[in-house]
Amino acid sequence: MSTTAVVERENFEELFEALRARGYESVGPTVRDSTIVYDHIETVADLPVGWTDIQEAGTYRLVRRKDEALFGYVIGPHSFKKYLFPPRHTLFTLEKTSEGVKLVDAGDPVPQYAFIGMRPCELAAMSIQDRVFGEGPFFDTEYLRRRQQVFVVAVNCVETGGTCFCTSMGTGPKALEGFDLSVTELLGDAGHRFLIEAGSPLGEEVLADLPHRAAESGEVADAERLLEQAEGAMGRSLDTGGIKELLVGNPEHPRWERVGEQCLTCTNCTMVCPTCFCATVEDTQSLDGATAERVRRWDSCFTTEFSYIHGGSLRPSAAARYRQWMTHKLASWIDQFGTSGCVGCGRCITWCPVGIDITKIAAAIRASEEKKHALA
Amino acid sequence: MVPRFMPVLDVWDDTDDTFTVELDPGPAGFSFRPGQFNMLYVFGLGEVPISISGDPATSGRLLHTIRGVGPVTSAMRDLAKGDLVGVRGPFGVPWPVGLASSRDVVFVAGGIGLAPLRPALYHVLNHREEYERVSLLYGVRSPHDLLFEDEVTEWRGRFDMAVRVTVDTADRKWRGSVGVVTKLIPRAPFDPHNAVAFICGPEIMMQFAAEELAKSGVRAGRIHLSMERNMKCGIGLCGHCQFGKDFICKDGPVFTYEALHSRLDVREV
Amino acid sequence: MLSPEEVLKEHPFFKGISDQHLEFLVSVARPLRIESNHFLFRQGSSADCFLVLHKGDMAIELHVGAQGARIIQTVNAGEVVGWSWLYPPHRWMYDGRALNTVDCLCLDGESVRKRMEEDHEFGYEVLRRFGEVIVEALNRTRLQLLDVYGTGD
Repeated sequence: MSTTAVVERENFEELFEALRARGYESVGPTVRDSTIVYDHIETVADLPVGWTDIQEAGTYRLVRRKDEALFGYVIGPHSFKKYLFPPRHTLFTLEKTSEGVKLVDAGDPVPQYAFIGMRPCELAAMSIQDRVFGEGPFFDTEYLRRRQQVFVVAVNCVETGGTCFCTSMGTGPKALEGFDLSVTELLGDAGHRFLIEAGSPLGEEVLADLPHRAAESGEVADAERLLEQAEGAMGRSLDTGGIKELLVGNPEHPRWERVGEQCLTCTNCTMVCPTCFCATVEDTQSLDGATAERVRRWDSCFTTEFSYIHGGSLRPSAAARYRQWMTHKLASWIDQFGTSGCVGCGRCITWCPVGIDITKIAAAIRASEEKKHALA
Repeated sequence: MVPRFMPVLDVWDDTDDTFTVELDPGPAGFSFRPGQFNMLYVFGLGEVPISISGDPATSGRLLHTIRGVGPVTSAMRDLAKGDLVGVRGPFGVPWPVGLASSRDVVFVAGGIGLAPLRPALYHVLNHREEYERVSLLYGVRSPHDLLFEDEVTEWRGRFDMAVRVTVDTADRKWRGSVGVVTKLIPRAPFDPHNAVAFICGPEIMMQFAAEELAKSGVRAGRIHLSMERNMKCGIGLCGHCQFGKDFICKDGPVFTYEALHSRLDVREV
Repeated sequence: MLSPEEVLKEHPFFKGISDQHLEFLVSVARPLRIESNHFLFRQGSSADCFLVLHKGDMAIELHVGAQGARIIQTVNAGEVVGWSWLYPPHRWMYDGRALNTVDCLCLDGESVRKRMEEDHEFGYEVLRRFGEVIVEALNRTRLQLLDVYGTGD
């Protein structure tokens, strides 16, 4: 779209101003409880300045960086999903009157969000949820009314984490589309700067408000080189070739039983996943029975209640629930929405308390399949 | 997600544990296709998916036949005339009654599975001349549990329809068949090469019935079954009712045996 | 009324059996007509034959104390009834009651057993057919045991 601009570190604050002036509430990364979470942020100082994260299966740790990078970490347990598809929110409130039942409140008000520091994998996750909730024949109006007014400031990944595999999933480390602004952070001798590209007319407007200059070809090349390095430095990889047939064709693979023995069915993987969309509703009423409310909250296919029909749960075993989750994510999602449900962010690996690794399970099933073919 | 409220016109017992709720959809009526379901909401208590069990040609009376198995369905038994019930729907893929025209139609029902089939039966009987031979094979636990008994008796008296009922267990007062419903299939009057089957009942019963029909020569693509899963939203967004790649609520509940065959044998899908 | 030969020739149970074996079966068959509500056999009585139904329906019943007679299954024309004759002590396990007028052939158990011992090929043909009937009955009974129409409580 536009040519690349450079904004110096000392002017980056102006981004917050420009968004505020347009009525946006900025949400993005900040440090809380030794973790990088997404929350309301007002200024550059709220960002995780000088922090990075070390991630492995079942491991997450924040450590100090040697520099003052604003986006020098990978990702935390939160994803921006929580702003578009809130973990818990009221769908409606009803009241009984003499004339019948009246709609009192049609749900929570919707702020106009600017997502600061959205990683390319999360941008891909959002575009997947756009399909899930917005492709029809039925639409999730709650999601869509939040989504419509989002301003996206994507930040490309010049460093990758121990559990990342976005290259395998084709979602990173550089944001290609779907953003208003895309940022690449440059550090080093030439100074702390940000390469910024606008991806929408609104993005160009906001960029115009920031003191900036055109990028030099050397700066663009530096950024490209960093992103290329990142591409080769993923902590994990996943072979997606024929993955749908592989998983759908192996529902009785012994590996499911083994992972079922490890899995605590704690639901962490589904809670941190930026694409998981399952939800349940809770209906309640006031003590006098005059008003009733319906609340929607995130649900997880790792609970037994999830598949409950009268008589019992249809997936009592942990093995079946893990298989459901992973087969849905990597295989049936393709049938349902024309895309994989995995963006390779690695959160499910990092935040699994027993370190179950989706890439390893997929590889193990593939290996035995290949062995089967070799023997045949 | 906000339901439309309709007053209860009547509630009556069909069997010891099953009852029918009749709702008044108002002057505009309520059109639906046989096999579709509604999400029914009891104020403040919860919402459950229930198949529509009435005649699609009579849109002024909306019938749901319900078995009281959970808190919401049990509360529905206590509804009285004038109470309001929230309705969202109709949802789901219907029985393909059109595809069955000029063919023999075999209905195989098990237990409360007769309720979701009844609208299709009504449709076929309302358009009887469009179909060849029609049969209803119906299995229940005991003679005591027969659903829509008067109507089944009436259908049984028709000259243009074969009705066979079998029960799992009975005492000597029962003059009919005892045994599983699949046993009725080999003796039912249909030409397997020109028949369409609609099956509804417990999953395991549907699976055996579909196998028996397939064994007799009915093509798997012409055997239709109605699946049941946990449904929360009814519109394919909440994820609960997934069965492999399908959302039962929006890609079903009616599927061909051909489409489901490979999944029905896998445990805990 | 059909002759025993015609009945056996047309009956699905004996489909494909050789003429020679059929001839023997005819020689040990005795036609039987039972009116509605009469018993073809009683629980505990000597099982000296098996029945080849060609008209009517019957109920296989078991007396369950205070509950009285429970119908376990019904059997229709085109099926055979009884395998108690095959193994000692050759006693009927159930009551067999006609639900309407039943026409059947009663095939003498002792003669068939003797022939099966002497001619294993014949024995195989008979046992293979009974095996299928027994497996089917077992499968159906298992399904009935599941109480699939119950509420799962």
